[in-house]
Amino acid sequence: MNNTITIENRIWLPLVAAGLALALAAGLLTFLLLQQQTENQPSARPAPTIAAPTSIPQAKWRIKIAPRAGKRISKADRARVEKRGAKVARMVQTVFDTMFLDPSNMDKVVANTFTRRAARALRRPGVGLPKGADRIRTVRRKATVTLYAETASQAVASVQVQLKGIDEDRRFRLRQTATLWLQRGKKGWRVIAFEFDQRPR
Amino acid sequence: MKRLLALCVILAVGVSLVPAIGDSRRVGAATIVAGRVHDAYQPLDGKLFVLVIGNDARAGNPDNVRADAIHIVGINTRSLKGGILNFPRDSYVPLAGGGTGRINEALVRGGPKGVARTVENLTGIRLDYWVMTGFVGFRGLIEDIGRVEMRIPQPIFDPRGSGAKLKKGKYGLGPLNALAFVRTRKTIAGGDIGRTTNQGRFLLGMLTEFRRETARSPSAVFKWMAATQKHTRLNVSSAELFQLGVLASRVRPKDVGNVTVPVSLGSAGAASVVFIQGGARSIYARFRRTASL
Repeated sequence: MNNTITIENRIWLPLVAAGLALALAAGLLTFLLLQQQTENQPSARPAPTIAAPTSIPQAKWRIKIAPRAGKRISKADRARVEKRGAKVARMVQTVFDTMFLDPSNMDKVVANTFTRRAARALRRPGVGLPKGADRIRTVRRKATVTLYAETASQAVASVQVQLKGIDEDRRFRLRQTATLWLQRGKKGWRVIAFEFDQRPR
Repeated sequence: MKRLLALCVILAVGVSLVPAIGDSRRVGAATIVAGRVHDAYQPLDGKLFVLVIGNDARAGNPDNVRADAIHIVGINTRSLKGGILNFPRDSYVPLAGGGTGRINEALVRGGPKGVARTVENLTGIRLDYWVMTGFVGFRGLIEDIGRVEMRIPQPIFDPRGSGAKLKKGKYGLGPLNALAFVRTRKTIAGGDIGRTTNQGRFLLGMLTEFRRETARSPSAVFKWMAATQKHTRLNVSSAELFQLGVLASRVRPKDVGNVTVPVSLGSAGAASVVFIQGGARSIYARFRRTASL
Protein backbone atom coordinates (compact mmCIF):
# COMPACT_ATOMS: atom_id res chain seq x y z
CA MET A 1 0.00 0.00 0.00
CA ASN A 2 1.39 3.26 -0.99
CA ASN A 3 0.87 5.85 1.79
CA THR A 4 2.71 8.63 0.13
CA ILE A 5 0.86 11.34 -1.73
CA THR A 6 2.02 11.80 -5.27
CA ILE A 7 2.85 15.20 -6.73
CA GLU A 8 -0.36 15.07 -8.85
CA ASN A 9 -2.51 14.46 -5.77
CA ARG A 10 -0.88 17.38 -4.03
CA ILE A 11 -2.14 19.64 -6.82
CA TRP A 12 -5.61 18.04 -7.16
CA LEU A 13 -6.42 17.91 -3.47
CA PRO A 14 -6.45 21.69 -2.92
CA LEU A 15 -8.45 22.10 -6.13
CA VAL A 16 -10.98 19.54 -4.97
CA ALA A 17 -11.20 21.20 -1.57
CA ALA A 18 -11.77 24.59 -3.16
CA GLY A 19 -14.39 23.13 -5.45
CA LEU A 20 -16.17 21.57 -2.54
CA ALA A 21 -16.09 24.83 -0.66
CA LEU A 22 -17.49 26.67 -3.66
CA ALA A 23 -20.22 24.11 -4.07
CA LEU A 24 -21.14 24.42 -0.43
CA ALA A 25 -21.21 28.18 -0.65
CA ALA A 26 -23.37 28.08 -3.77
CA GLY A 27 -25.74 25.67 -2.15
CA LEU A 28 -26.02 27.83 0.94
CA LEU A 29 -26.65 30.93 -1.13
CA THR A 30 -29.32 29.20 -3.17
CA PHE A 31 -31.00 27.98 -0.02
CA LEU A 32 -31.04 31.47 1.44
CA LEU A 33 -32.47 32.95 -1.77
CA LEU A 34 -35.22 30.34 -1.91
CA GLN A 35 -36.09 30.93 1.72
CA GLN A 36 -36.57 34.63 1.03
CA GLN A 37 -38.81 33.97 -1.94
CA THR A 38 -40.99 31.59 0.09
CA GLU A 39 -41.47 34.18 2.78
CA ASN A 40 -42.67 36.71 0.21
CA GLN A 41 -45.30 34.34 -1.23
CA PRO A 42 -48.78 34.14 0.37
CA SER A 43 -49.26 31.39 2.92
CA ALA A 44 -50.96 28.18 1.85
CA ARG A 45 -53.41 28.59 4.77
CA PRO A 46 -56.63 30.41 3.87
CA ALA A 47 -56.59 34.07 4.74
CA PRO A 48 -58.97 35.18 7.50
CA THR A 49 -62.22 36.47 6.08
CA ILE A 50 -61.96 40.10 6.96
CA ALA A 51 -62.39 43.00 4.66
CA ALA A 52 -59.27 44.29 3.06
CA PRO A 53 -58.19 47.46 4.84
CA THR A 54 -58.74 50.66 2.93
CA SER A 55 -56.85 53.88 3.10
CA ILE A 56 -60.09 55.79 3.56
CA PRO A 57 -60.98 56.28 7.23
CA GLN A 58 -64.09 54.36 8.24
CA ALA A 59 -66.60 55.00 11.00
CA LYS A 60 -65.97 53.17 14.20
CA TRP A 61 -68.31 50.28 14.94
CA ARG A 62 -70.62 50.97 17.89
CA ILE A 63 -71.82 47.63 19.16
CA LYS A 64 -74.06 46.78 22.08
CA ILE A 65 -74.57 43.24 23.35
CA ALA A 66 -77.58 42.52 25.54
CA PRO A 67 -79.40 39.50 26.95
CA ARG A 68 -83.15 39.05 26.74
CA ALA A 69 -84.91 36.65 29.06
CA GLY A 70 -88.22 35.92 30.67
CA LYS A 71 -86.72 35.67 34.12
CA ARG A 72 -83.84 36.95 36.23
CA ILE A 73 -80.50 36.36 34.58
CA SER A 74 -77.80 34.70 36.61
CA LYS A 75 -74.18 35.84 36.57
CA ALA A 76 -73.22 32.68 34.71
CA ASP A 77 -75.88 33.31 32.05
CA ARG A 78 -74.73 36.90 31.68
CA ALA A 79 -71.12 35.84 31.23
CA ARG A 80 -72.15 33.27 28.64
CA VAL A 81 -74.21 35.86 26.78
CA GLU A 82 -71.29 38.30 26.72
CA LYS A 83 -68.86 35.70 25.45
CA ARG A 84 -71.12 34.38 22.70
CA GLY A 85 -72.45 37.83 21.95
CA ALA A 86 -68.92 39.00 21.20
CA LYS A 87 -68.58 36.22 18.66
CA VAL A 88 -71.85 37.14 16.99
CA ALA A 89 -70.79 40.78 16.93
CA ARG A 90 -67.55 39.90 15.14
CA MET A 91 -69.53 37.90 12.60
CA VAL A 92 -71.90 40.80 12.00
CA GLN A 93 -68.99 43.18 11.50
CA THR A 94 -67.44 40.78 8.98
CA VAL A 95 -70.66 40.49 6.98
CA PHE A 96 -71.25 44.21 6.67
CA ASP A 97 -67.62 45.23 6.25
CA THR A 98 -67.31 42.73 3.43
CA MET A 99 -70.60 43.83 1.88
CA PHE A 100 -69.51 47.45 1.65
CA LEU A 101 -65.72 47.49 1.78
CA ASP A 102 -64.68 44.23 0.14
CA PRO A 103 -67.67 42.99 -1.89
CA SER A 104 -65.56 40.64 -4.04
CA ASN A 105 -65.23 38.40 -0.98
CA MET A 106 -68.94 38.40 -0.17
CA ASP A 107 -69.61 34.89 -1.53
CA LYS A 108 -66.94 33.41 0.73
CA VAL A 109 -68.20 35.26 3.80
CA VAL A 110 -71.81 34.30 3.11
CA ALA A 111 -70.83 30.66 2.69
CA ASN A 112 -69.20 30.76 6.13
CA THR A 113 -71.89 32.69 7.96
CA PHE A 114 -75.30 31.99 6.38
CA THR A 115 -77.28 28.78 6.17
CA ARG A 116 -77.61 27.47 2.63
CA ARG A 117 -81.21 28.53 2.37
CA ALA A 118 -80.50 32.02 3.68
CA ALA A 119 -77.48 32.32 1.38
CA ARG A 120 -79.65 31.47 -1.63
CA ALA A 121 -82.17 34.11 -0.62
CA LEU A 122 -79.40 36.72 -0.37
CA ARG A 123 -78.60 36.49 -4.07
CA ARG A 124 -80.94 39.18 -5.22
CA PRO A 125 -80.38 42.72 -6.42
CA GLY A 126 -80.86 45.77 -4.26
CA VAL A 127 -78.57 44.80 -1.42
CA GLY A 128 -75.04 46.12 -1.18
CA LEU A 129 -73.14 48.61 -3.29
CA PRO A 130 -74.04 49.73 -6.81
CA LYS A 131 -71.77 48.23 -9.46
CA GLY A 132 -68.61 50.17 -9.99
CA ALA A 133 -68.92 51.99 -6.68
CA ASP A 134 -65.65 53.28 -5.36
CA ARG A 135 -64.07 55.33 -2.58
CA ILE A 136 -66.54 54.04 -0.04
CA ARG A 137 -66.54 55.77 3.29
CA THR A 138 -68.81 54.59 6.07
CA VAL A 139 -70.07 57.40 8.27
CA ARG A 140 -72.04 55.28 10.72
CA ARG A 141 -71.80 51.64 11.73
CA LYS A 142 -73.96 50.54 14.61
CA ALA A 143 -75.26 47.15 15.81
CA THR A 144 -77.26 45.82 18.72
CA VAL A 145 -76.87 42.10 19.33
CA THR A 146 -79.50 40.55 21.59
CA LEU A 147 -79.17 36.97 22.77
CA TYR A 148 -81.83 34.71 24.25
CA ALA A 149 -80.39 34.33 27.73
CA GLU A 150 -82.06 30.96 28.41
CA THR A 151 -79.87 29.23 25.84
CA ALA A 152 -77.45 31.89 24.51
CA SER A 153 -77.85 30.05 21.19
CA GLN A 154 -80.32 32.32 19.45
CA ALA A 155 -79.52 35.92 18.58
CA VAL A 156 -80.95 38.89 16.76
CA ALA A 157 -78.68 41.59 15.36
CA SER A 158 -80.09 44.98 14.40
CA VAL A 159 -77.64 46.85 12.21
CA GLN A 160 -77.44 50.35 10.76
CA VAL A 161 -74.86 51.39 8.20
CA GLN A 162 -74.60 54.74 6.47
CA LEU A 163 -72.01 55.42 3.85
CA LYS A 164 -71.05 57.54 0.90
CA GLY A 165 -69.04 56.88 -2.22
CA ILE A 166 -68.63 57.52 -5.90
CA ASP A 167 -70.42 55.67 -8.66
CA GLU A 168 -69.49 56.59 -12.26
CA ASP A 169 -68.19 59.99 -11.15
CA ARG A 170 -71.39 60.69 -9.23
CA ARG A 171 -71.42 60.88 -5.49
CA PHE A 172 -73.98 58.79 -3.70
CA ARG A 173 -75.10 58.18 -0.14
CA LEU A 174 -76.69 55.05 1.13
CA ARG A 175 -78.39 53.97 4.32
CA GLN A 176 -79.04 50.38 5.23
CA THR A 177 -81.01 49.03 8.16
CA ALA A 178 -80.79 45.30 8.61
CA THR A 179 -81.91 42.54 10.92
CA LEU A 180 -80.12 39.24 11.10
CA TRP A 181 -81.55 36.28 12.97
CA LEU A 182 -78.79 33.89 14.02
CA GLN A 183 -78.70 30.44 15.54
CA ARG A 184 -75.80 28.53 17.05
CA GLY A 185 -75.54 24.94 15.86
CA LYS A 186 -72.94 22.27 15.31
CA LYS A 187 -71.12 24.42 12.76
CA GLY A 188 -71.21 27.47 14.98
CA TRP A 189 -73.31 30.57 14.46
CA ARG A 190 -75.26 30.89 11.26
CA VAL A 191 -77.64 33.50 9.90
CA ILE A 192 -80.97 31.73 9.38
CA ALA A 193 -82.97 34.72 8.22
CA PHE A 194 -82.42 38.36 7.43
CA GLU A 195 -84.12 41.53 6.38
CA PHE A 196 -82.42 44.43 4.63
CA ASP A 197 -83.89 47.85 4.08
CA GLN A 198 -81.58 49.87 1.86
CA ARG A 199 -82.25 53.27 0.43
CA PRO A 200 -80.38 56.32 -0.76
CA ARG A 201 -79.86 59.09 1.76
CA MET B 1 -77.16 -10.96 52.00
CA LYS B 2 -79.62 -8.81 53.90
CA ARG B 3 -77.52 -5.74 53.24
CA LEU B 4 -77.41 -6.55 49.55
CA LEU B 5 -81.18 -6.97 49.48
CA ALA B 6 -81.67 -3.67 51.26
CA LEU B 7 -79.36 -1.96 48.81
CA CYS B 8 -81.30 -3.39 45.87
CA VAL B 9 -84.57 -2.15 47.35
CA ILE B 10 -83.13 1.32 47.91
CA LEU B 11 -81.78 1.42 44.38
CA ALA B 12 -85.09 0.26 42.90
CA VAL B 13 -87.02 2.89 44.82
CA GLY B 14 -84.51 5.54 43.82
CA VAL B 15 -84.67 4.62 40.15
CA SER B 16 -88.45 4.64 40.15
CA LEU B 17 -88.45 8.12 41.66
CA VAL B 18 -86.07 9.59 39.06
CA PRO B 19 -88.73 10.25 36.36
CA ALA B 20 -90.91 12.07 38.88
CA ILE B 21 -88.03 14.12 40.26
CA GLY B 22 -86.27 14.74 36.98
CA ASP B 23 -89.46 15.51 35.12
CA SER B 24 -91.12 17.72 37.70
CA ARG B 25 -92.56 19.99 35.01
CA ARG B 26 -94.75 17.12 33.85
CA VAL B 27 -96.17 16.59 37.33
CA GLY B 28 -98.68 19.25 38.24
CA ALA B 29 -99.72 22.27 36.27
CA ALA B 30 -98.14 22.39 32.83
CA THR B 31 -100.60 24.96 31.60
CA ILE B 32 -99.76 24.71 27.93
CA VAL B 33 -98.53 21.55 26.31
CA ALA B 34 -97.18 21.07 22.84
CA GLY B 35 -95.35 18.55 20.76
CA ARG B 36 -94.71 17.07 17.39
CA VAL B 37 -97.53 15.05 15.90
CA HIS B 38 -95.16 12.61 14.26
CA ASP B 39 -91.85 11.41 15.65
CA ALA B 40 -90.15 12.05 12.36
CA TYR B 41 -90.40 15.78 11.77
CA GLN B 42 -90.64 16.26 8.02
CA PRO B 43 -92.20 19.55 7.02
CA LEU B 44 -93.42 18.96 3.51
CA ASP B 45 -92.48 21.20 0.60
CA GLY B 46 -92.40 24.46 2.48
CA LYS B 47 -95.70 23.88 4.28
CA LEU B 48 -96.15 23.86 8.02
CA PHE B 49 -99.33 22.85 9.88
CA VAL B 50 -99.97 23.32 13.59
CA LEU B 51 -103.01 21.97 15.42
CA VAL B 52 -104.20 24.37 18.11
CA ILE B 53 -106.44 22.86 20.80
CA GLY B 54 -108.24 24.73 23.55
CA ASN B 55 -109.67 22.51 26.26
CA ASP B 56 -112.21 23.39 28.92
CA ALA B 57 -110.01 22.60 31.89
CA ARG B 58 -110.08 25.31 34.52
CA ALA B 59 -106.60 24.30 35.70
CA GLY B 60 -103.76 22.43 34.06
CA ASN B 61 -104.37 19.91 31.29
CA PRO B 62 -105.95 16.83 32.88
CA ASP B 63 -106.75 13.85 30.72
CA ASN B 64 -110.55 13.83 30.96
CA VAL B 65 -111.38 17.10 29.26
CA ARG B 66 -112.98 17.96 25.98
CA ALA B 67 -111.57 20.11 23.23
CA ASP B 68 -113.61 23.29 22.93
CA ALA B 69 -111.42 24.86 20.28
CA ILE B 70 -109.85 23.03 17.37
CA HIS B 71 -107.98 24.91 14.68
CA ILE B 72 -105.38 24.08 12.07
CA VAL B 73 -102.92 26.90 11.48
CA GLY B 74 -101.07 26.53 8.20
CA ILE B 75 -98.16 28.53 6.84
CA ASN B 76 -96.63 28.32 3.40
CA THR B 77 -92.99 29.06 4.14
CA ARG B 78 -92.31 30.08 0.53
CA SER B 79 -95.19 32.43 -0.18
CA LEU B 80 -95.46 33.48 3.49
CA LYS B 81 -99.22 33.17 3.25
CA GLY B 82 -101.30 31.10 5.60
CA GLY B 83 -104.65 30.03 6.84
CA ILE B 84 -106.59 29.15 9.96
CA LEU B 85 -109.17 26.41 9.53
CA ASN B 86 -111.68 26.21 12.37
CA PHE B 87 -113.75 23.20 13.43
CA PRO B 88 -116.84 23.66 15.59
CA ARG B 89 -116.55 21.45 18.65
CA ASP B 90 -119.81 19.61 17.91
CA SER B 91 -118.71 18.52 14.43
CA TYR B 92 -119.84 14.92 13.98
CA VAL B 93 -116.86 13.07 12.50
CA PRO B 94 -115.15 9.67 12.41
CA LEU B 95 -112.89 9.52 15.43
CA ALA B 96 -109.39 8.07 15.45
CA GLY B 97 -109.52 4.78 17.23
CA GLY B 98 -112.94 3.92 15.84
CA GLY B 99 -116.52 5.09 15.88
CA THR B 100 -118.10 8.42 15.13
CA GLY B 101 -118.82 11.24 17.50
CA ARG B 102 -118.32 14.88 18.24
CA ILE B 103 -114.82 15.97 17.34
CA ASN B 104 -114.23 17.30 20.86
CA GLU B 105 -114.48 13.76 22.23
CA ALA B 106 -111.28 12.83 20.42
CA LEU B 107 -109.34 14.55 23.18
CA VAL B 108 -110.91 12.42 25.90
CA ARG B 109 -110.31 9.26 23.94
CA GLY B 110 -106.79 9.81 22.66
CA GLY B 111 -105.35 13.03 24.05
CA PRO B 112 -103.87 15.69 21.76
CA LYS B 113 -102.43 13.10 19.40
CA GLY B 114 -105.86 11.50 19.20
CA VAL B 115 -107.30 14.84 18.10
CA ALA B 116 -104.43 15.23 15.63
CA ARG B 117 -105.08 11.81 14.07
CA THR B 118 -108.81 12.50 13.87
CA VAL B 119 -108.18 15.80 12.09
CA GLU B 120 -105.57 14.27 9.78
CA ASN B 121 -107.95 11.47 8.79
CA LEU B 122 -110.73 13.99 8.18
CA THR B 123 -108.76 16.49 6.13
CA GLY B 124 -105.84 14.53 4.66
CA ILE B 125 -103.52 17.23 6.01
CA ARG B 126 -100.34 15.99 7.66
CA LEU B 127 -99.90 17.97 10.88
CA ASP B 128 -96.45 18.91 12.17
CA TYR B 129 -97.10 20.20 15.69
CA TRP B 130 -99.90 20.29 18.20
CA VAL B 131 -100.30 22.80 21.03
CA MET B 132 -102.98 22.68 23.71
CA THR B 133 -104.00 24.88 26.58
CA GLY B 134 -106.79 25.38 29.07
CA PHE B 135 -108.02 28.46 30.86
CA VAL B 136 -105.02 28.99 33.13
CA GLY B 137 -102.41 28.59 30.42
CA PHE B 138 -104.27 30.88 28.08
CA ARG B 139 -104.59 33.63 30.69
CA GLY B 140 -100.98 33.24 31.78
CA LEU B 141 -99.70 33.55 28.23
CA ILE B 142 -101.76 36.67 27.49
CA GLU B 143 -100.59 38.18 30.77
CA ASP B 144 -96.95 37.72 29.77
CA ILE B 145 -97.21 38.87 26.18
CA GLY B 146 -99.43 41.82 26.96
CA ARG B 147 -102.76 42.86 25.51
CA VAL B 148 -104.03 41.59 22.19
CA GLU B 149 -105.86 44.19 20.15
CA MET B 150 -109.20 43.04 18.73
CA ARG B 151 -112.01 44.72 16.84
CA ILE B 152 -115.30 43.97 18.59
CA PRO B 153 -118.00 44.73 15.96
CA GLN B 154 -120.91 44.40 18.38
CA PRO B 155 -121.00 44.61 22.17
CA ILE B 156 -120.66 41.24 23.85
CA PHE B 157 -122.47 40.84 27.16
CA ASP B 158 -122.49 37.36 28.69
CA PRO B 159 -122.09 37.75 32.46
CA ARG B 160 -123.45 34.31 33.35
CA GLY B 161 -121.69 32.37 30.64
CA SER B 162 -118.20 33.48 29.68
CA GLY B 163 -118.30 36.58 31.90
CA ALA B 164 -117.77 38.83 28.88
CA LYS B 165 -118.62 42.53 29.16
CA LEU B 166 -117.02 43.91 26.01
CA LYS B 167 -117.93 47.19 24.38
CA LYS B 168 -117.97 47.68 20.64
CA GLY B 169 -114.75 49.04 19.21
CA LYS B 170 -111.08 48.25 18.70
CA TYR B 171 -108.97 47.89 21.81
CA GLY B 172 -106.56 45.66 23.67
CA LEU B 173 -107.88 42.63 25.54
CA GLY B 174 -106.11 41.59 28.72
CA PRO B 175 -106.09 38.01 30.03
CA LEU B 176 -109.62 37.94 31.48
CA ASN B 177 -111.31 39.76 28.60
CA ALA B 178 -109.40 37.69 26.04
CA LEU B 179 -110.59 34.47 27.65
CA ALA B 180 -114.15 35.77 27.82
CA PHE B 181 -114.02 36.75 24.16
CA VAL B 182 -112.90 33.32 22.95
CA ARG B 183 -115.39 31.51 25.20
CA THR B 184 -118.55 33.46 24.41
CA ARG B 185 -121.12 31.63 22.28
CA LYS B 186 -124.60 32.19 23.63
CA THR B 187 -124.87 35.91 23.03
CA ILE B 188 -123.18 36.22 19.64
CA ALA B 189 -124.39 35.63 16.11
CA GLY B 190 -123.85 32.06 14.96
CA GLY B 191 -123.60 30.63 18.46
CA ASP B 192 -120.90 28.02 18.67
CA ILE B 193 -119.92 28.49 15.01
CA GLY B 194 -119.54 32.22 15.61
CA ARG B 195 -117.39 31.44 18.64
CA THR B 196 -115.17 29.15 16.58
CA THR B 197 -114.68 31.88 14.00
CA ASN B 198 -113.92 34.39 16.76
CA GLN B 199 -111.24 32.06 18.11
CA GLY B 200 -109.60 32.12 14.68
CA ARG B 201 -109.83 35.92 14.72
CA PHE B 202 -108.12 35.96 18.10
CA LEU B 203 -105.25 33.86 16.76
CA LEU B 204 -104.89 36.46 14.00
CA GLY B 205 -104.97 39.16 16.65
CA MET B 206 -102.06 37.46 18.40
CA LEU B 207 -100.15 37.33 15.13
CA THR B 208 -100.82 41.03 14.59
CA GLU B 209 -99.54 41.84 18.06
CA PHE B 210 -96.48 39.66 17.56
CA ARG B 211 -95.64 41.33 14.26
CA ARG B 212 -96.16 44.79 15.70
CA GLU B 213 -93.74 44.08 18.53
CA THR B 214 -91.10 42.39 16.41
CA ALA B 215 -91.27 45.14 13.79
CA ARG B 216 -90.56 47.68 16.52
CA SER B 217 -87.90 45.51 18.14
CA PRO B 218 -86.89 42.25 16.39
CA SER B 219 -85.57 40.83 19.65
CA ALA B 220 -89.14 40.85 21.01
CA VAL B 221 -89.30 37.34 19.59
CA PHE B 222 -87.40 36.30 22.72
CA LYS B 223 -90.08 37.75 24.99
CA TRP B 224 -92.67 35.58 23.23
CA MET B 225 -90.40 32.56 23.34
CA ALA B 226 -89.81 33.02 27.06
CA ALA B 227 -93.55 33.44 27.72
CA THR B 228 -94.36 30.33 25.70
CA GLN B 229 -91.68 28.25 27.41
CA LYS B 230 -92.67 29.49 30.86
CA HIS B 231 -96.23 28.30 30.50
CA THR B 232 -95.64 25.36 28.24
CA ARG B 233 -94.46 21.81 28.48
CA LEU B 234 -92.86 21.59 25.12
CA ASN B 235 -91.63 18.78 22.99
CA VAL B 236 -90.23 21.46 20.75
CA SER B 237 -86.67 22.72 21.10
CA SER B 238 -85.71 26.36 21.57
CA ALA B 239 -84.13 26.23 18.13
CA GLU B 240 -87.39 25.10 16.50
CA LEU B 241 -89.37 27.64 18.50
CA PHE B 242 -87.01 30.39 17.36
CA GLN B 243 -87.36 29.36 13.72
CA LEU B 244 -91.15 29.26 14.05
CA GLY B 245 -91.08 32.71 15.66
CA VAL B 246 -88.91 34.15 12.90
CA LEU B 247 -91.23 32.61 10.30
CA ALA B 248 -94.34 34.00 11.99
CA SER B 249 -92.81 37.48 12.09
CA ARG B 250 -92.62 37.43 8.26
CA VAL B 251 -96.31 36.51 7.75
CA ARG B 252 -98.77 39.38 7.41
CA PRO B 253 -102.16 38.83 9.06
CA LYS B 254 -103.94 40.00 5.90
CA ASP B 255 -102.29 37.09 4.07
CA VAL B 256 -103.82 34.59 6.49
CA GLY B 257 -107.38 33.50 5.78
CA ASN B 258 -109.69 32.61 8.66
CA VAL B 259 -112.20 29.96 7.56
CA THR B 260 -114.66 27.85 9.53
CA VAL B 261 -115.67 24.59 7.88
CA PRO B 262 -119.22 24.81 6.47
CA VAL B 263 -121.66 22.91 8.68
CA SER B 264 -125.34 22.31 9.12
CA LEU B 265 -127.18 21.74 12.37
CA GLY B 266 -128.47 18.29 13.16
CA SER B 267 -128.62 15.57 15.72
CA ALA B 268 -127.13 12.14 16.22
CA GLY B 269 -129.34 10.16 18.53
CA ALA B 270 -130.14 12.48 21.39
CA ALA B 271 -127.04 14.58 20.86
CA SER B 272 -127.12 17.93 19.14
CA VAL B 273 -124.34 17.99 16.59
CA VAL B 274 -123.25 19.76 13.41
CA PHE B 275 -122.50 17.97 10.17
CA ILE B 276 -119.60 19.15 8.05
CA GLN B 277 -120.83 19.94 4.54
CA GLY B 278 -119.40 18.42 1.35
CA GLY B 279 -117.95 21.79 0.35
CA ALA B 280 -115.36 21.33 3.06
CA ARG B 281 -113.50 18.82 0.91
CA SER B 282 -112.39 21.47 -1.55
CA ILE B 283 -111.27 23.64 1.37
CA TYR B 284 -109.21 20.75 2.74
CA ALA B 285 -107.68 20.11 -0.68
CA ARG B 286 -106.72 23.75 -1.18
CA PHE B 287 -105.29 24.01 2.32
CA ARG B 288 -103.37 20.77 1.91
CA ARG B 289 -101.91 21.95 -1.38
CA THR B 290 -101.02 25.53 -0.49
CA ALA B 291 -101.11 25.77 3.34
CA SER B 292 -103.09 28.97 2.86
CA LEU B 293 -106.74 29.96 2.66
